[in-house]
Amino acid sequence: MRAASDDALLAGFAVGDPDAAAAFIRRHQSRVCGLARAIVCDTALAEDVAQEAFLRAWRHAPAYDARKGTVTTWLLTITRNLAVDAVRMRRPQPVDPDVLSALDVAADGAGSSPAATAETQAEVARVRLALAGLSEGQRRALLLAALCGRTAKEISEVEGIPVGTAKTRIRSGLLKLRDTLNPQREDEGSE
Amino acid sequence: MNDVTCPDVEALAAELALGSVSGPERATALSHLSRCASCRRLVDELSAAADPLLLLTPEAEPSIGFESRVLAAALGAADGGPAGTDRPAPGLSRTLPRRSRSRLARAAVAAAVVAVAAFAGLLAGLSLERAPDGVRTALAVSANGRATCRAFAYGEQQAWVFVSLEAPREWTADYRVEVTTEGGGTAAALGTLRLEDGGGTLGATVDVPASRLRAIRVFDPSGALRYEAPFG
Repeated sequence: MRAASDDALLAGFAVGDPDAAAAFIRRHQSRVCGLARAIVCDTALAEDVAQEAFLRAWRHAPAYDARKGTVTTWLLTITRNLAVDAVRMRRPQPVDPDVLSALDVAADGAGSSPAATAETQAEVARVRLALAGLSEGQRRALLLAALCGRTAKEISEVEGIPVGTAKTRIRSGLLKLRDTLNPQREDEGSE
Repeated sequence: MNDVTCPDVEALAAELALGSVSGPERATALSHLSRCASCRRLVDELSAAADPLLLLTPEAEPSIGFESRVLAAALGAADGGPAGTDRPAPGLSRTLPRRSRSRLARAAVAAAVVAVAAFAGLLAGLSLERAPDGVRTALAVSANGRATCRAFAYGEQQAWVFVSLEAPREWTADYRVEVTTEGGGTAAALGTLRLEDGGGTLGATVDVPASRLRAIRVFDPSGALRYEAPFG
C-alpha cells in the first residue's frame, strides 16, 4: 500500500481492512508506546495501554471528527487517558511525575524520530519552541496536567504551592501557548 | 455552582481543555458550554493548543509482535488467526477491569461477518441494507468479473469514504474517483486512485453525512465511467 493519509488508514482499520490496519498500527505504534511509557513508567504496562488504545481507536473510529484535530492527537489523547487511568489504579497518589524527565530528553530531539512525518516534526519543533517561552513553573504545571492528567490540587501538592497558584500557572501557561502557536488569533481581534 | 457564569467558566477553561476537571464541576461547566458559544470557542482554542503537547514524549518501539497482537485482538479472530497470538493484556486487565477483550473480539468477528455477508449479498444481487454501526458498503464488479471496486463509508456529519479496486496486475492506471449524493446533488471528487500490482486504495472525507451518499463512480484515464458502485 502506498503512503495513505491517517484518515484513510483509520477508516480502513475501522472496517477491518487488514492492510490498512497494519499500516495504521505501524505508523503510530512508537509514538503511542512512547507516550504510554512516559506516563506509566513500566514497559509491560505501557504496551498493554498501547494495545488497548489501538483497540479503542478501532472501536470508536466512527466517532473521530477530523475537524476537531488530527488522527494522531486523537489517538494520543485516548492513550493518555488510558495511561492516566492505569497509573491512578496502580498508584492512587502518584508523586514523582517521571514524564517530566522524559520531556527533558524530548527537548534534546526525542519526540521527532526520523519516522515521524515532516508535518509532525514541524509541529513538535513549534510546540517545543512555544514551551520554551513559558516560565519553568508554568511549563511544569501545564505538562503535569496535559500529560499526567493531574488536577490543580494534585499539582499544588506535587509542587508544594497553593492550589490557586497551580490554577494560575495552568491557565496563564496554556493561554500563552495558544497565543504563541496561533498568533493570527490576536490579529483577528478575537476577544 | 449551579448558576455558573462566563467568568467562572473562563477561569476553568484551561483545566477543561486539559481534561483535568471532573465531577460536578465539570458537568456544570459543560452544561454552560452547551449554550455559550463564546466560552465554547475559548475552550476549543485552548484544546487545540494543548493537543500537540502529546507529541512531545520520546517515541518508544514496542516489543516484537506488538503489531500482530493488536491485529489479532481487533481483527485476527475473524480470519481464523491462531488463538495463541491474541495475547491477553494482563497488566491492563488487572488495572483497568472494565475492559473485556472477549467482547471486543466477538464484536470484531460480528462486524467482519456482517461485512463479508454484505459483500456476498451484493455479489449475489440481494437487496442488502446498511451494515451495522453506521458503516455503508458499496460494490461493483466489471462485466467480465475480473475487476472489483469496493467502498465503505461512515460518519454522521462528515463521511469517511474508503475505496479499493482489485484488478489484473497488468492494469496499471490512475483512476479518478467521485461520490454522488442522494437528491441529485453535485458529485464530490474523492481523488485519484492509483491501480498497480493488482490493487489500489483511496481514502478521503466529504462534507456530507454517509447516510446521504448514493454511489461511488470510478473513471478511467480517458474519462470514461468504468464502475459505479451504489451504496446499499
